[in-house]
Amino acid sequence: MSRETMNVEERVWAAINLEKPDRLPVAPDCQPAGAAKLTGRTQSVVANDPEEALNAELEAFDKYGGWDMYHMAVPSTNINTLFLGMKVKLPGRELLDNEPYQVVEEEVVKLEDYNNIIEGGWQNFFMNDLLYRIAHESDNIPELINKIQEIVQKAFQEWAKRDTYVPCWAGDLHPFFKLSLTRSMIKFTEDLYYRPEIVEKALDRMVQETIKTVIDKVRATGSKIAWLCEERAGGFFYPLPIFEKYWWKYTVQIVDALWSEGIISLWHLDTSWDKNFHYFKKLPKGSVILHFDGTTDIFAAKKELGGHLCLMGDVHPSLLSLGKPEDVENYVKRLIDEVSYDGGLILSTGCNVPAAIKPDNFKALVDTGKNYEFSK
Amino acid sequence: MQLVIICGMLGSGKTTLLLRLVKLLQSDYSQIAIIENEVGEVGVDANYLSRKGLNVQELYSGCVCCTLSTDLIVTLEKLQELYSPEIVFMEASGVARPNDLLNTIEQYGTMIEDVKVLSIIDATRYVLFSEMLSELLCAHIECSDVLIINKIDETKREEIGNIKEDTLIKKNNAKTWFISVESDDYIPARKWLT
Repeated sequence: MSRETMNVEERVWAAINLEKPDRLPVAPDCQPAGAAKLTGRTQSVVANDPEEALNAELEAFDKYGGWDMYHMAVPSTNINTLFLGMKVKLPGRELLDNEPYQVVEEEVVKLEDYNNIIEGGWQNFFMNDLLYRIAHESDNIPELINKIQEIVQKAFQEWAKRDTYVPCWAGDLHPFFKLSLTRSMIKFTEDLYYRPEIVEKALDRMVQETIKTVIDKVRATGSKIAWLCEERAGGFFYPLPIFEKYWWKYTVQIVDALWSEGIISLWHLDTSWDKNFHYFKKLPKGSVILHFDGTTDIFAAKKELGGHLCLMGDVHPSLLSLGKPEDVENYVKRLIDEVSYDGGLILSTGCNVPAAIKPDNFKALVDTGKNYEFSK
Repeated sequence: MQLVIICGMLGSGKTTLLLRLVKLLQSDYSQIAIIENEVGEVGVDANYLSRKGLNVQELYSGCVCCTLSTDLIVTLEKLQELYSPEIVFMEASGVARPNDLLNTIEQYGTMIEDVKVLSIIDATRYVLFSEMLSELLCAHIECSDVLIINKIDETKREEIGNIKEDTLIKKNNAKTWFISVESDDYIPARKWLT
């Protein structure tokens, strides 16, 4: 039986660099909602108390034997969810104690706000205006921001004690996604149709801000990977000409700017991107990691993008919440045999570990990921 | 348990349709339950419906639905345990794709005996959706058993003609109805569910 010959960081980077690691790197996206279920906490506890959210993540990591990469270092809680730019219903506040938080899809950014964004930038608009529109009446914003900084420090110290690679201390949502969330999807689509010039101006400005902010943050933390997220631009929703004009053009700018600074962008891409694979082939080899959520056909992605970009994923939330451990085991084995046989895969959950995950299924994911290749 | 999934973009008339269906069919079923997933500008008044003897569950998912299908099964199990409803109406989020829900129901929804998908489309915004959100629109149309083209009282006759001639509409196999859910006196609810 073979044994591990790489440390966690070497293993992850071998996959990113499209080389064959000693074994598949394992990196479930274990955010507080899933960690709560795995550690017996309620959703209310982790959504309202950032310290407990971090504790849940740390405890889940320790309890299930650890894994190679914990890519999102700072737990997503009541504070961070505000950074989606949407109103949020929280368990224990608007929702029952054990229901996961829910974002509210409504038009919190108005048509006239585009001019403010174009003139003053998104960050300025967000921090001085939007944040106050979406915050709950009980939220003390300066206090919440201080709390984030405290938790970042604590997370930094705690993860450093554990044998895992924690690369993403900086990240952002794609500007297209920000506008879709905050205008609401249909309003934003109407904007693209009826007034594309103003949207393009806003996107131009926001993309430059995203590039600068992400590069500055990554430099400050000494990391080499930035987390970026898009859930609404793919072929699942929009036809290719719309995708090309309002998403892809800007994504190339972001990826190129980061890549020229030696930064890999890890894209959290929910929904199906099956119709968009050929675009990603145009990005520089090894410049991005594509994290799929189980809706995209990762086996088809391997055929088209294998040897060019690192893939990540993609054990579907339904399988983890409703399936049996042997089903999870079989799926992970299939990923290893058909996607990871020559490297270029980081094993993860499709999207985050779901709030309804069965603990035995989570164990099956981690254990199979770590042991299957050595058992062959 | 019979499940009726009502899907369509935000603002297409899903909530109005749901309320009319429930009112029309309430006497046909011993227990009706409603799953509300559209957490948006207009929602079902859960308290009002509860007073009418209906069981309403909100279904939460993230900003796009990656766990929606999972949560639907969990919610259906909960409803089954609490109320054993004969029929459940689900108002799906505007960004949900019915095919994902159907796949999960087929795999894990052992309590479901029959599923019907009713897709509702706002005729006044048909051109916008067919050009800008064609993939999502197709997903709604392709999976539907009944396709309801709504708000025809607000749509020009010529535009209705164009919708009827659109390939997407012409090639689909669903029963298609041009109607105004809010103002029309007659809604063929029983026909739609058989």
